[in-house]
Amino acid sequence: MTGANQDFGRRPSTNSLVGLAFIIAFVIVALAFIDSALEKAERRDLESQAQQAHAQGAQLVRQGKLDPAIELLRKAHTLERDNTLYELDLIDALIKTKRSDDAEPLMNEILLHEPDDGRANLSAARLALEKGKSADAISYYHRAIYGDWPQNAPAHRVAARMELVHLLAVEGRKQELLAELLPLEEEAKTNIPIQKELGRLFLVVGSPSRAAEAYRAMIDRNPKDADAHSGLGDAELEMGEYRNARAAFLTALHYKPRDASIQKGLDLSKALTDLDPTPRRLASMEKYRRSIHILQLAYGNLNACLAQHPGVQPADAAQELSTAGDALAAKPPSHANNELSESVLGIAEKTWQARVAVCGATVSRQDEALRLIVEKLAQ
Amino acid sequence: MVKLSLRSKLLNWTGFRNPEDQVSIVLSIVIGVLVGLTVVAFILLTGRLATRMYPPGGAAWRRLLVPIAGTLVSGYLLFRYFPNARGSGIPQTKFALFIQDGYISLRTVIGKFVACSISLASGIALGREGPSVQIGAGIASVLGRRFGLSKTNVKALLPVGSSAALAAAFNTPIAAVLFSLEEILGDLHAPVLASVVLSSATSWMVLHLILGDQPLFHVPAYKLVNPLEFGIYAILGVIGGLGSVCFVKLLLKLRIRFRQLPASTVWLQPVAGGVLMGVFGLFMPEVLGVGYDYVDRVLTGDFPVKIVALLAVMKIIATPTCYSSGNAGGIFGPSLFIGAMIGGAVGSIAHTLLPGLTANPGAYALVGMGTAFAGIVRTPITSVIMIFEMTRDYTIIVPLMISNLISFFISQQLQREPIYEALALQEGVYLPTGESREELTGIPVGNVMRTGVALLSSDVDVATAKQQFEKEKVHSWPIGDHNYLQGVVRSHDIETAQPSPAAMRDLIKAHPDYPYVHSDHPLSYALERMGTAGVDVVPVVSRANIHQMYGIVTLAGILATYGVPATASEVK
Repeated sequence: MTGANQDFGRRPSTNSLVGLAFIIAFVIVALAFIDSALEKAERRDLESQAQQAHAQGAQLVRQGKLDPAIELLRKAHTLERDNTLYELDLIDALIKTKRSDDAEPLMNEILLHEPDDGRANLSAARLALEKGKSADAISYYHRAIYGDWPQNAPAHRVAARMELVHLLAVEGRKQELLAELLPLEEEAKTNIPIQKELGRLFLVVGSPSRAAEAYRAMIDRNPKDADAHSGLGDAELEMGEYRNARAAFLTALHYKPRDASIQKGLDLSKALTDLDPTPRRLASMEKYRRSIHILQLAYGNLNACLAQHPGVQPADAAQELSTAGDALAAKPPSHANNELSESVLGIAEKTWQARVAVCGATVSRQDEALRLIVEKLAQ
Repeated sequence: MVKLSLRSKLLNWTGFRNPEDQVSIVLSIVIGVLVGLTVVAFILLTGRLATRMYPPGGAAWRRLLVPIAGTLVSGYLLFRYFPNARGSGIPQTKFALFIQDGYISLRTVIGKFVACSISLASGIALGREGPSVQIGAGIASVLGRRFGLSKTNVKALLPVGSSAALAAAFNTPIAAVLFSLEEILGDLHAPVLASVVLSSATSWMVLHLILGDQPLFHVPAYKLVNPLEFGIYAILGVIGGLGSVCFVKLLLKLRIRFRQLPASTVWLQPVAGGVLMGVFGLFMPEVLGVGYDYVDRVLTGDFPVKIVALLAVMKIIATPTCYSSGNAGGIFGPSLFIGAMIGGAVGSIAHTLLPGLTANPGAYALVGMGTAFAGIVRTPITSVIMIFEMTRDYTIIVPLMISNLISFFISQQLQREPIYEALALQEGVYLPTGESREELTGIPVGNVMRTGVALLSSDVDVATAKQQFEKEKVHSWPIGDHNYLQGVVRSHDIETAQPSPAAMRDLIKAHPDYPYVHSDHPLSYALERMGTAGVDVVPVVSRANIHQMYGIVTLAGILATYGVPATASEVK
């Protein structure tokens, strides 16, 4: 302490002060240099470790091993906090494992700093969906679609819109779905898988003409595309153009001979062609015969429906069933005219409506022909 | 009328007319830069060394052997070359401030840097913030002396260096200022406030320039989900307080045990901490080192409750062992770790029981950090501000305050002496506590102290003692031999003792506690001690050794200082 005490209060000379200032300046510069070098080395190491952990984590995600993947992705995120990609991959993995509570704080943090980031908003939409907040999810999807994507923005936007479209389809929001499909048609003109999906979705929203248009565009680009021909067949069926549908299914089957779904479509189109009472040059007797067949189908369908729902027996349904039964029991005319056929078809239509009122519009594959034909008659 | 130059006007306006004040202000900035750079180097170097010692995917034997080897090397260095660099650095800084006139040697600064880098990188459960404080204060002390500042001004620079160090170590400039004032100086209104703020801000800027704008912990934005949570935060405060008391008591008890070991084992004692860490680390790697990585993870709410509870217990055992065995390293970081684990466990249980009414367990881990810090370090204001700065989230502040104050209160009730004061007491040093520092205002005892006073030998008989009282016109006098103060005897005690004592030592044995003051105490405090002990003479003793008497202060002397005559005749 005595030696120490001698240090105090001894005013240094001007020369000493200048020397001291130089030493301090030198130490500051040296320390700054050392710090920068250490920091760079540290950052390099951390980035390398983070990259490695992320690559391994992403691979495990692809293999479906989510728990170990999350560990690695979390490590990558901890090592390199500024890397939004790592954090978003971690969030996505957490969402996939239904750990939305763990993902939410991370998500909020990203959105706080990157509110316009397309990828972040897409993940936020998935998270909101996982938490059952579909309204929030739709909002985030829109932000993702119109957000910033540093690379390959059009493709990411289309993918984001596709996710939104699927959500809207599942939710049955047909108007909103149609509003998303229209720009998507423009954005994904050359994307065949999306165009096919678009065609299917146009059918879902009840726009078969747009669906047919989409499939025709695909066929123009690739005439040997069996799926496009099959899709066109479905669209034609919905529009009531059964012969065109049959032709489309036949072409599809030509390119994909053993495809069961195309075969079913072909069978349906054949059945509808044979059942359709509306062709112009159809003989009156044939039209009447087809009308009776349709009525029989409708009658049988309503009967089966009422048998399945014994507690639900509305008076209208019983009345329609009785009327249909009477019409079927009546003696067939020696020669039928158009009015008689129309009358039978009218009864068939009402019978079908009674069936829909009791059992809903959903039908089995076997009754698909009846549904399509009655819908066509109703148009 | 004299026309003042611009420089004079500026100096008048700032109040820095004294050249030493001007140097101090400039030095505050220089200290901020130097300490900031040094602490950043310390943090980075420790991190780099740790990466080398524990490479990713390294073998398990490393976790067993590296702490042992690290403590062996640092233990030897501390024993052989840097004996003053042991421990956390906070008590040592306070010793320097209150006892050594602000003196910290350059050797101690270098020793602290080197020994801590080795021991912390080897994975012992101590923190880097306490050592940073001593390094910062040391740099300030060295600079102050080199610039020829007086003792008073060098002492004033110590909190300046401390705050610069803490600002860089924790990335919390406001908490650093508060800590320096609240804990180091014990006065939130200290006149050095401007310098402390200046150095803290400068150091923080240096940190940002080099490491960027990254908080120490990355915490998602939490909020209070339901008012019921206040109750859970209060429970957390209770548990955190009890955990803090366990930690402090264990540390103090172990320190006594280690101090009782033969002096020849001092160089080897740190290895005890290394062995414990090796065994713990072998089974639970997360317990190694200060553990900020794991704290970061717990703060996001991702952890199994059993693991965090186990980690809290392990750290409560590991840190006191590492510290008490004489390793160089602090307890700030471990306090935060323990708090985060306790908070995480409490939050996790609460969230399992009341999922809809409670926030993510990470929020509790966050509050728990402040709770343990307030309970262990006993700086409630600093801990609240520190957590606020770490998270930059205002919404958590009210639960944090509630929890902190409960923990602080429990800790204060169950462990009277704050940890740094208790550690200093074990060293035989009587540091002024937070409360007693308030008493250090007014005229200091040193101004009135009578020096060169001879102690009355403990061998003297009653008659000689009475003669001494009459000679000095007092009713009490300090007793001791060979300048070793043993007690204070009063004439009243002599007269009332049954049987009459043969020598003064018999009387002292009956009254082993004696009143004393330090030279920096105010006269009002000396009067208070006289009143409490019923004496008119109080010995003035060293803060480092209460048996070393510097002089005495008498009632008459105090009254005379205030212009009050001691007797009625003098009044006339």
